[in-house]
Amino acid sequence: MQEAIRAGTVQEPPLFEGEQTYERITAQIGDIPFEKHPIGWTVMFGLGFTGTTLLVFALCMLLLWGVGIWGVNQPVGWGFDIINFVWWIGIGHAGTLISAILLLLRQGWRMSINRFAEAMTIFAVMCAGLFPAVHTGRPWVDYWLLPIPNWLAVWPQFRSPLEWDVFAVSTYFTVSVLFWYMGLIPDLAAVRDRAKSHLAKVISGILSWGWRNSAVHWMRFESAYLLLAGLSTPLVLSVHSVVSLDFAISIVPGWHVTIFPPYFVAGAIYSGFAMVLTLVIPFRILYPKLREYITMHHIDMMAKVMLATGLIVFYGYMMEAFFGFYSANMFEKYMITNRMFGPYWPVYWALIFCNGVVPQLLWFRKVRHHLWLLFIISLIVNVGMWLERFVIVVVSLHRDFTPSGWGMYGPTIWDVATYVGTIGFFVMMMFLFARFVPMLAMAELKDLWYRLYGHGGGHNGHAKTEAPAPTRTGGGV
Amino acid sequence: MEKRDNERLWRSLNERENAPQLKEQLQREFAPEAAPHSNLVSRRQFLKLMGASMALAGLSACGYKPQGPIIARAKIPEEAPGESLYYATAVTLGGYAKGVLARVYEGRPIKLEGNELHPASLGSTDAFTQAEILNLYDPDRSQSLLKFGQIQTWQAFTGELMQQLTLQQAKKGSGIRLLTEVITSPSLAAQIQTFLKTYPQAKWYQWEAINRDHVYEGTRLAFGEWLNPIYRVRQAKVILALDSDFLFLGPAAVRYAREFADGRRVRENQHQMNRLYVAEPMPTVTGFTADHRLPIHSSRIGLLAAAIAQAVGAPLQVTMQGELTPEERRWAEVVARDLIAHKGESLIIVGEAQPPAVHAIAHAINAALGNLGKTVVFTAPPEAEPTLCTEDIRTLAKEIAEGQVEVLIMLGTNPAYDALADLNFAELIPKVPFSVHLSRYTDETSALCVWHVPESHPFETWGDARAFDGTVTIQQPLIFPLYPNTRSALELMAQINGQGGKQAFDLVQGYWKTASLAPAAQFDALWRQSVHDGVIPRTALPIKSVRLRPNLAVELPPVEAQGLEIRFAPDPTMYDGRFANNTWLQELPKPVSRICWDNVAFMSLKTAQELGVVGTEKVALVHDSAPLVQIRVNGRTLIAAAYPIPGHVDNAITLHLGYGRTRAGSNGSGTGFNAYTLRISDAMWFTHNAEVVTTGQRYTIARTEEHHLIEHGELDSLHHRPIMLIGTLQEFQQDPHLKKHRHGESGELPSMYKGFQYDRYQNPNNYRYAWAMVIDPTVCTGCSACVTACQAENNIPVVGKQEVVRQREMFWLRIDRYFKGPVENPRTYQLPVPCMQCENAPCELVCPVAATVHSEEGLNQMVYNRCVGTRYCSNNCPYKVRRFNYYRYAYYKQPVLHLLQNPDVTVRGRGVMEKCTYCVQRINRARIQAKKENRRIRDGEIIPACQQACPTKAIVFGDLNDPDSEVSRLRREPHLFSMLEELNTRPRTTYLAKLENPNPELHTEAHNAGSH
Amino acid sequence: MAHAAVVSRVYGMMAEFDSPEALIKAAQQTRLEGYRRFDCYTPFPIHGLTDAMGVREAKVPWTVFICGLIGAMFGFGLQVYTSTIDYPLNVGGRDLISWPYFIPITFECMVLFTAFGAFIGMLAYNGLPAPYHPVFNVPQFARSSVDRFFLCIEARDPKFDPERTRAFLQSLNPISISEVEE
Repeated sequence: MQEAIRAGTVQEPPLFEGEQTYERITAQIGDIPFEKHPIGWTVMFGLGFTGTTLLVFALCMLLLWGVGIWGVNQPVGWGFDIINFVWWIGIGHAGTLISAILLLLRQGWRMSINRFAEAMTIFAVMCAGLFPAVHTGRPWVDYWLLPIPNWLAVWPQFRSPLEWDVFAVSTYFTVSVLFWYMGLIPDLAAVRDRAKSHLAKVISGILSWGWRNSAVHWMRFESAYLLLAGLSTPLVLSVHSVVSLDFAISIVPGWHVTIFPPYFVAGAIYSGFAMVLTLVIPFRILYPKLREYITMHHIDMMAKVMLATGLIVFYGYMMEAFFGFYSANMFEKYMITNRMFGPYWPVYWALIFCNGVVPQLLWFRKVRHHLWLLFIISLIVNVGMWLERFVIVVVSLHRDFTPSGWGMYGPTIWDVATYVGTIGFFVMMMFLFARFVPMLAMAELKDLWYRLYGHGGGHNGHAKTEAPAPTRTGGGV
Repeated sequence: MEKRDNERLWRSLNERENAPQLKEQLQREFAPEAAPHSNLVSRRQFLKLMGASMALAGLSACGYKPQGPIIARAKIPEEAPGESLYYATAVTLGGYAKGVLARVYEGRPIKLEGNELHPASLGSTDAFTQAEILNLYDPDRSQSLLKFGQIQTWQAFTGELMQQLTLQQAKKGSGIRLLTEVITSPSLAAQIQTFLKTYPQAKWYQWEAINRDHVYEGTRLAFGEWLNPIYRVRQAKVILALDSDFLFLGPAAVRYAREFADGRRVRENQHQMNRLYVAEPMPTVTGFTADHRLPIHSSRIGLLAAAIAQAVGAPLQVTMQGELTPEERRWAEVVARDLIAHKGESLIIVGEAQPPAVHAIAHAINAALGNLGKTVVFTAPPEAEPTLCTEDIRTLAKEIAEGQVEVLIMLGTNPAYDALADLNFAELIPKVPFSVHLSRYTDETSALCVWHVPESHPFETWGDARAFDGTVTIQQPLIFPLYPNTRSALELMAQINGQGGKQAFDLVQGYWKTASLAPAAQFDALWRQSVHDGVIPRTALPIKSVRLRPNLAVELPPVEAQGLEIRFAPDPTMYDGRFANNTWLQELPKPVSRICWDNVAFMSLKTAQELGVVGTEKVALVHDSAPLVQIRVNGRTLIAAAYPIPGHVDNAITLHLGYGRTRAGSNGSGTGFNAYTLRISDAMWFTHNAEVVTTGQRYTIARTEEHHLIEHGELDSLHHRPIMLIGTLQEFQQDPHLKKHRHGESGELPSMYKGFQYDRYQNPNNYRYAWAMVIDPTVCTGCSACVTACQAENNIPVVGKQEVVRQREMFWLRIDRYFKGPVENPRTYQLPVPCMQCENAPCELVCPVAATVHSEEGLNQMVYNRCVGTRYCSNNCPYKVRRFNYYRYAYYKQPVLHLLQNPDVTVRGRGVMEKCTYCVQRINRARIQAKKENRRIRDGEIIPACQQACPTKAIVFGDLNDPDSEVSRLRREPHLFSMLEELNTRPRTTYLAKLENPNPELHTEAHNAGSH
Repeated sequence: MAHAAVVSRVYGMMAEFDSPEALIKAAQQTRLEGYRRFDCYTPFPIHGLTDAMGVREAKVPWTVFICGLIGAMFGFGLQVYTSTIDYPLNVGGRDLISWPYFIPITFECMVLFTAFGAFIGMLAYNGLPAPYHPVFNVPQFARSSVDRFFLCIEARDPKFDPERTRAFLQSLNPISISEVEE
């Protein structure tokens, strides 16, 4: 495909809008940190900050009184806490997917969204990690989950999926940060070289470690970047598989399901792309110049990925139902019947609507190119994925093996406050990121431009024929 | 001493100042809308204040050692630090003694066990007895004399009292009335008699809201005198209980339950099984246990009895109105045939709620069947002064109204609350110029009296009491009175009789010296033995030979065919309301309904729908709120929550007495609805033509088990799950393994792991135990004694109504209840569910911090101080037996409650998971003992709290690696069954099949349904 | 010693180009000319440039591989050691070494170690952080992160001679040539 484009035989939908030069790319993106930010930014940041304070308050109450302030009970030992954990971590996955897997797959269109998506990943994982940390009865001894010698002389119990979570999530977070930061280094150098104020120069200078664009450095940079990408790919798959094992390892009907790992990963990517869209569309409005780099083609591609993963997820639901009835296991059968027609039936059918029915609209090009429609769909999908976790966590637990132990679950004000709070935190961080960090990977964009059009100046459109053959993958093409 | 009194006085006043604001915080605590933490706030503050005052008022002052020579069970020297001593004594309910062994740890009683030497206990207890220990330490107990609510000194009180009495001396005490509970205590009775000698015109009345008047009247009708029937349940092959909960309530319930169970234990080589028929309006423990249960109005029981009497040819005429329905008639005939087939080994028992005539009919039937002297014998009433409580209270009310009563001395009763509504006792008491009330709480009656005298707890002083068969127990004190101003009834009477100087010990022993039990020479030996054993030998009343009166004729009260029937019954946990402030009993799920902290208006689902209080929607009862209805009967009204329960007879409402108290204490006040307000002397137990009006409001109800089953038109909460193995005796005889009822793969499943080997010897000279438990649901009646015993033994906190509503109750042991068959009259199956101690424990695998691991003896151990509280273990427990401290439940600021706690068991903090441990502290005690004596732990040496309390001995614990242990033998029984076997958790707690012995002639669908 | 003074004063000679192609050509020329100690500076990585410069190495991949091995061994070793030697416990009747349960953590540890290997390795081999570097003394070098492509022949190169090197660079017709102050 790419060769064809370069050969000029196929006209690929533009990954850039309008005339670009290396200079322009740098200026457009690199100057954002130095420009006056739009009023919309202030509003959104304010909202996010309010949410964050709410979160802090909710957590204080939690530490003061105990998890009793939440709706959890026997038999439903996990409620909003774990639902939100899975929801957030799922959202995070899109970032890594875009930056790593699409890189390996040489998807040129990833260039303009990967930095953004990676940032989203990091903040989403922060929100996610919060929940398992505070959902315990005694958060102040959470460190017992880490393999460090303690006064009890006992080690963690490595057979527990929760222990795997500790390793998976922390590793995932670390690697995501490294990956993200590494990609940032050259761009921070660019910022440094443009910075007017001394302070900005110093800060960006320190953060860019004195990067000087040396060809040899670039070479090592790329092999390291590529290796990180190669590692992140199995990592991102493993992380959500491990999360799914939190349930699959148990014996609870509705949890003990063999298809969970793939079906969770698909769900994660699904919700992740939904979240990217939810963010990108407003950002394009807030920062109009981003439209030159995040074109309708990008949005179209993301919508397609959503559609694909959405179909996988929907297949997962159908399989669950099928297993339930086909297994001839009384517990499984009751579990699925209870999901569909039990006290929580509305949740299940809402889930089917959000994740099964609505995404079908994405089959239509018109829908994929209608921003507002797409925005609403992505919101619905986010809701749907949350409902999916609710069905899995709560509806499976509230009626399991022993009828005498059955019960109902309802969230309290504090459950909601904590959840809303994390959303606020997420928004706040995203807008801080947009404000102070180059939102798009400039170097990679220039590289892409060079790949596609082979020169730094002028006449857009017709590709240069004798551009060097694309064997290098660091830039992505 | 005087100085101390002053100090106390001040400190108590200090406490009194806090009182109002405490009350107000209390209301907030129980307000349904209160946020959970906010109600904790109020609880905390409440505890702080109470605690402070408590610390000063009582404990700091005195050591624990009681006065008088008390005698422990063990040989070891008393006062052994760290060692517990067991003392025999008794607790009384309705006047009747139940023998107990109190475990006293370093001077403080912490647990009650049954006294195997006592006829009413046989080593077991009921829930009331288990909870009695909490009554002792109840922080709300009254501590000081009050005159019109103002604190006074003893000097002031005795002064005024004596002055009043001297005034009365002139008229031989014609103005003095004595109102007591039913009294069996010989020494107290003697004191009262002395008093009555001094004041010949004075009168002594007794009142129990739950009394046995009808039983005595019944015997008078049948035999011409008041007699005390004693049933030999063990000898009975066929038992018919008419509106009688004899397995659960009554002075001999524990013994009857044991005897009943003994006639019912089916083993591979023991196929004998008695058969129980029960006819009753509202399901009871006995009804749930029955092989055949007939829902029928209390007012129609008489007709049923008469029909059976006729069928067995009982020698009496019955004049009656009303007709049995065809089904009832058929039932009666079948039962009658079965009874006739078992002449001499059958038994008819009638409940105290039934009118005397029905009792008489039952006696006649027993006579006709030749059961007299075999399965039922008679003695004289064990009360010191047998009387008809209803008559007494009525006369007293009349006399007060007529102004004849000038001095009213009340010992321990609470008529202002539980007297019959039409007597308006609450308005009468203030009419008495000089009223004295001795009671453990400043309750409804105290509030109306001139003087309130704080009563000491039986465990604080000497006393004596008779059991249902007259056997006397000397109650020895276990602890020095917690509060210096309290007196027992005996001490008070002695003081009135001018023996104020005497110690309670001298009073009691003095009485028995004169009672000429034995020649003076041997008295001391006899005394020592009696106190040590907890029973005075040869004090059981002699069996009387009785003859039915010739040409006996009885008349049944007329039966209103139509009209809603209201049935009053003692509450399964509050009894008549005296336990209202006992949080253990408040939170204990009621044996039948699984409701706690409230009583409700029980009715059948059909009736509820007819009255429009329950919608016809399928999931009517999933919600935790029930509709409030107004019940109007005999011109009185009561607002109560309507609550449908399976198996209740249609067109009737059952109200449990004992709730709706206003001055029970911080925990009891304001819970439930006061059914006494509808209870009048003409209709003490049931009445008719009630109207029910819906109010449109709803009331939150705390239940530990949902009726979600009602979603399915037919009750079948087992959902064909392998939770119980159920079969009939017949099926067992054909195939002891009951194969056709088992399903799911059983036995070993292939595993990729070798797994842990629990063999007898790690190395040859080091024997390894393998603890296990077998439970026999066939004999379990669901009486819940084990639950309270577990709570007492393991320091299990009470969480309060709000938390129970949020499904956070903490019981380590629960009793599951499953229905099967039609909602009108389902079969009921119950089984106690402790931790299964799975060998392949799902909970352990998922704990990230190894806070729950397996001991090499097979115990699934919970390491509290390692637990982080992820709750994953609970999620992954298929039996849902794990409990989590969502808040800091076990947080008692009151030092007096600290005295209660078992030093062998950790008190769990906030955020920690907990569960049944097989009473590991008892295992370790035995292990230490065995090590000391350099031997193995003997079979039966370790008895977990639940097993020890169980009246029917349905629970057996022991060592699997010892092939001769009882538990091993039971594990070899063919009808052994492990819950959810197919999950291959390999539980150490296993069950025998629940066997029923249905009469083929009545063999219903339900029984067939019973089999899967 | 004067000579030495010169060397110490001058870091190298820098030529500025406006397109990757030009730079690549220049690099090839420089190499053919016999220069060894020179480096190129570009706003974005350009393929073929290092080949043209004749630079080859695979340090980073090897580092990453080694780290991966160590990580995996650490992960598995930790679990086996803690659950068998240091504090063996009977957990749900499972074997002490229930290896399938140990796979996830082993994997995660491997990834974690490799990630650090890649990141730290990259920085270390690049000699970063470098608080100061002479090339920044050239004013127009700021555009190296924007749209200009630089080639700098260092004074350390034995073939370096201010005049001849400047002449040679001239022959590559750059936009500008500047001397890089030490």
